[in-house]
Amino acid sequence: MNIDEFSQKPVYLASKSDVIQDTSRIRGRMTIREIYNTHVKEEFPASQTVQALESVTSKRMTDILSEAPFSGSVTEQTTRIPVLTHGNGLHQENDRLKTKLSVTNKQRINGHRRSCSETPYGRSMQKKSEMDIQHDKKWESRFYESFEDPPIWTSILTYISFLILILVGHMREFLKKLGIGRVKNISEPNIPGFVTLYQTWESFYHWYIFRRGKDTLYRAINSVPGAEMDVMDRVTDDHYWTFRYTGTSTRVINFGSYNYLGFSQNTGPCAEAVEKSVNELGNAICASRQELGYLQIHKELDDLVADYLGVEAAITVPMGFATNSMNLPALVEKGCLILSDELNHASLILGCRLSGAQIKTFKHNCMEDLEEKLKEAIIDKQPRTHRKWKKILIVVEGIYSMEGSIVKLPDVIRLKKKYKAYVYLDEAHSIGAIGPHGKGVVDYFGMDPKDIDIMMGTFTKSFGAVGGYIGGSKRLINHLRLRSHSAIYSSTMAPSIVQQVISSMNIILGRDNSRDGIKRINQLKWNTRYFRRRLQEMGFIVYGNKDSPVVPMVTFSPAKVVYFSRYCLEHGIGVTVAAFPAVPLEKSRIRFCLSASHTKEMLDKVLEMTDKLGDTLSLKLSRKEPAEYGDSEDQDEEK
Amino acid sequence: MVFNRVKNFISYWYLQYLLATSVYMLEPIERRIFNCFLIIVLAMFMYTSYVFLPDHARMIVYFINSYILQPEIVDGV
Repeated sequence: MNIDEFSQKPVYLASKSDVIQDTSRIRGRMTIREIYNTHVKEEFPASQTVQALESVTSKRMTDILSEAPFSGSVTEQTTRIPVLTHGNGLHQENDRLKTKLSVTNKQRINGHRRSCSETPYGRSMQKKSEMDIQHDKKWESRFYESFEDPPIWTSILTYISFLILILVGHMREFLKKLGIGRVKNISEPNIPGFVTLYQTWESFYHWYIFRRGKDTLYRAINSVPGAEMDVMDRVTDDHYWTFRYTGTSTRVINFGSYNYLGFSQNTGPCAEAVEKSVNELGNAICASRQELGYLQIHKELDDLVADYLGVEAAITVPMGFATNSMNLPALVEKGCLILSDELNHASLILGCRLSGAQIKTFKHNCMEDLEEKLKEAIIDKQPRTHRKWKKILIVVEGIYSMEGSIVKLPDVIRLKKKYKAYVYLDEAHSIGAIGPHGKGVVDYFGMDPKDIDIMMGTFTKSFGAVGGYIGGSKRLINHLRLRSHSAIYSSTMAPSIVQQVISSMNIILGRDNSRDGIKRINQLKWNTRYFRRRLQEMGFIVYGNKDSPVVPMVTFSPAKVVYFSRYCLEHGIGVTVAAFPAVPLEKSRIRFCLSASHTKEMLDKVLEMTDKLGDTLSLKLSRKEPAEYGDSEDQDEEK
Repeated sequence: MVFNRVKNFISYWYLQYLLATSVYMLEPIERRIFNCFLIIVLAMFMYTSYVFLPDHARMIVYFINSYILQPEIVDGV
């Protein structure tokens, strides 16, 4: 099902699985007239004869009731199979049927509860039905992800340490009321009848726990964040409430910026092209895309992005966050269902909420859970009225930045085709970073970009610019050009940024007649595999897929993660810390963001320091054997 | 030389204690108060166990023995 049927009513598939056997038996009682009214009329013009009608209905009824539609190759799937739904002619039966259906099917679904094996948020046995097993293609044998659990004493100590911090925080609050001690938070008088300005747990956490490690975050830099950067030194006179800059800066190796292909440079062909474009076109375009703001250079960028991704057309937005939050409301609305992964980014969550659709989350990267939710959605439909959903949209990300995991895209596409849903893929971290040609997660799995209805991504991470894009079919992009909030209300991208994206994309595609793009992609891949393998061999717990350039190394305890970051800064390395609330409370981590501009010497320096710190802080908690995989994908294929 | 080794040993284990209980993140005055509090609690624990534990242990052993040797005569001791 493609996006061309966007404005028409979607049809749901009645597959012969045990869960909806009840419904097919009940629906078999439909009369020929009812079948004709509901969907044959849509397909065939009114001048069809009765014989044609009968042949159609008998063939299709038997097809549906006896044979599973999703068997065999993918090409068979694309033929339209009519679906038996509660059409317009069955209102009287609806009320009787809906209560019976929802009760039986809920029981059956809960009885056969399946959850995923080895995800960070749940594990159990993995069961697959027969017709799904034949679709376990080669990709699963090459797909490796790990989210290891720590030994129990680590978790206990982490909880004890948080307990101590919370108790000390409460003591300080109490002493502040008595007037002892300097606590520089904002206190508000307790006026009855008014809601408090500050939420209790979040503000408490921020003032008494987060503040103690605040010098590891929001560090100011003095130079371009390439492979090395200048971090401005700062000291605190009052225990991290405020900071003061001393005026000097330290040169550190940059493991904290998203700079996957190393385009974050202020010299080179990209920078020269940008200078030229600023001289020609100016600094900013102060008009929106629908008014005067759409220049020739923007059209060039749109076409280039569409070419890069392999889709028909693309639209660009000057801010990555706004690409998600302002375009999702234009695509879904109140009677639709969104199935989003539980670890989706804040921009996706905001876009989903703004759209007004019903949102359900499924377990992270768990295809069994997604399938359960899809089945529930199709059988039970909307919560009160039991009308069918107008659209079902599955929202996933290419690489999840806090976990380093890659979405299981072949499975998502298989489920999307089976249950006739739409897929929104957010490739913010994966575009340019994975795949043999750097074209993202679709390239990584070797799938067809036309299978994904809405491909979204950002230029911030791999292209050294800002902004985002959405790619898809021409009809989708035409709709977005008219209806998207960003096209109507926000001004378009500045010419310098557009030129930066165009130059970097041309380098990656190899159109500037040099091998720079291929070299960068290969360097990043080699860096990723080498770094991850070395860390796992040393015995650290590293989350995520073996191919993701985001390397989260878990340190669990808040004091250890702060000590690690401070020690690294003193010795010339800048890493980022991820702690609550971005990640679960007991699983704070150090995140290394690898780049194509990191040389092997820089990686070795970091690995040496991590080794030493791992011994000091007892962070080498991994109890699994390190996985064996090669340096690159060619070595994988040889196996 | 021995002092250096002892000092290294103590500072290593002090750092481990600070990191494991997250006292490392507290302000200096909070650290001192917490350490004093912990030392007082541990001292009281040791004192109580030194004074009372032998007697308690002896009574427990006595009760177990008397239960094993013959049936219990519930009469108080």
